[in-house]
Amino acid sequence: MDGQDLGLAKEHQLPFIRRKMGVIYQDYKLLYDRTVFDNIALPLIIAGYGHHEVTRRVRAALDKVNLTGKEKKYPLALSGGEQQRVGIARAVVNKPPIIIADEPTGNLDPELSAEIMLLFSQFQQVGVTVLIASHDISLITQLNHRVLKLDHGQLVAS
Amino acid sequence: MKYSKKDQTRKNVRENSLKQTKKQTKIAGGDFIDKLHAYRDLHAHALFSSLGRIVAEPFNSIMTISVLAIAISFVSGFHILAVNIQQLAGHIEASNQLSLFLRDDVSDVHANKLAESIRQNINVQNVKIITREEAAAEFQTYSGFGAAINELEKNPLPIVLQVLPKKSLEDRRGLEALQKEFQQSPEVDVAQMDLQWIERLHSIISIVTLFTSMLNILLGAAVLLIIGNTVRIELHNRREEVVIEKLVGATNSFIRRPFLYAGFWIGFISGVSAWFIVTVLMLIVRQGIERLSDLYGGSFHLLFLSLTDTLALITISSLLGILASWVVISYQMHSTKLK
Repeated sequence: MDGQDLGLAKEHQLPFIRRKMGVIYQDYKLLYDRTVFDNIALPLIIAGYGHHEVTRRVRAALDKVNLTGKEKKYPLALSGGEQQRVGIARAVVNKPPIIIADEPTGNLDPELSAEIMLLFSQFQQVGVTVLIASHDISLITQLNHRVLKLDHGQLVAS
Repeated sequence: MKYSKKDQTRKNVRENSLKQTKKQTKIAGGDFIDKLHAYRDLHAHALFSSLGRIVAEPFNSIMTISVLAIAISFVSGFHILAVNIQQLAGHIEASNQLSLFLRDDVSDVHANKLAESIRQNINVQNVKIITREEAAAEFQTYSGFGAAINELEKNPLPIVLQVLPKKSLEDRRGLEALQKEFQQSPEVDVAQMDLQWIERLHSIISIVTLFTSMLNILLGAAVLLIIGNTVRIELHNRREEVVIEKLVGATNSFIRRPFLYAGFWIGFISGVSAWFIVTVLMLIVRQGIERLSDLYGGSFHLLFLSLTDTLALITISSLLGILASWVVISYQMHSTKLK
């Protein structure tokens, strides 16, 4: 990735590799004792961005996932779809070249899932590599992108 | 040919994008000053949020800090005790005098004659006679039991000859020989080297000091363990947070920082509390000690923790806090592989 062999990466390099990837999880992995804003700002704070830059970028990310105005709420006050969008905003706030989504719609109803997938398509349009793991085949085929089919870790169709 | 050209362009594109991302990472986060501010903010945030966490759980915090404060106040209490005992010992000047306590039946005249003969001794510089009356007067002034003496029919104090040996006779062996010589004479009941008293006192003090410093090491270890355990529990409670921070690219030092500040706060607050405990205890006993000191001529004044002692106390307990949490966090990160 980015000219670096991940298999050879040392342990102390891992944090910096992670900063170049936006990862989205099935169970959102949000911090429930912090506001939406603080959750999204976390990668930026960890990367050492200044206060103004953090605010600007978090606002932009919130806007992208249609959560403007909810930055002061706590994740538990949001619906599942909104929580997942907070997770997505956190993944993209650092403008990573690659987004990896692990079953991002696993806990969501079809309508919300389609909404989330549309969001991913938009990221793809602006040049971000998006890798989605899913078992919702109908949803995936709707997207009309390349599909890699895995069976027990073996690539069976592409 | 066609293929290689395509490959070439692809490679170029990739290289360009690589350069671009490098450039991006370089300018990411604004200029240097902005980053410096961000770094300062991170530390300030860790400093205050860790204090906030301590305050947020007052019951747990108060219990932990009380235990630590008591342990640390033992350490500083021992220290101040040693300082005061040394002050007490310092008042007693080291001298090479010999005190000859004469037998009861020796008269004043006889004592004068004896003093005169001792003065002839080549090793003796001077002899001073303390008569029974003088001894009684001195006893009355300094001991506080003056009234008791007046009650007695007969003065029980013996005549004392204070013998000051020659300067050349500084070493112990010479003094001991002189002491034995005087002990032989029939008029002398007891020949006492003043040096012996001081030596005894000093050896008692050094044993006490050694013992307290060993106790201090144990108490310091206890403080380390208590803070370490507190931080370990804190880490356990915040495990989820730590995992998520790691997932979004936090370095080990980022993870460690708030815990180090937590250790610092625990140590700092315990140190300040320990100072408070010791000072209050000393204020309570001061009056009694000053009264006792007055009875013995009033030369002894209770020493409190000095400014240097206080600063050292607070600094050392804060550093112990940081050290303990550093060890625990580093160990936990290696053993449980928080990845």
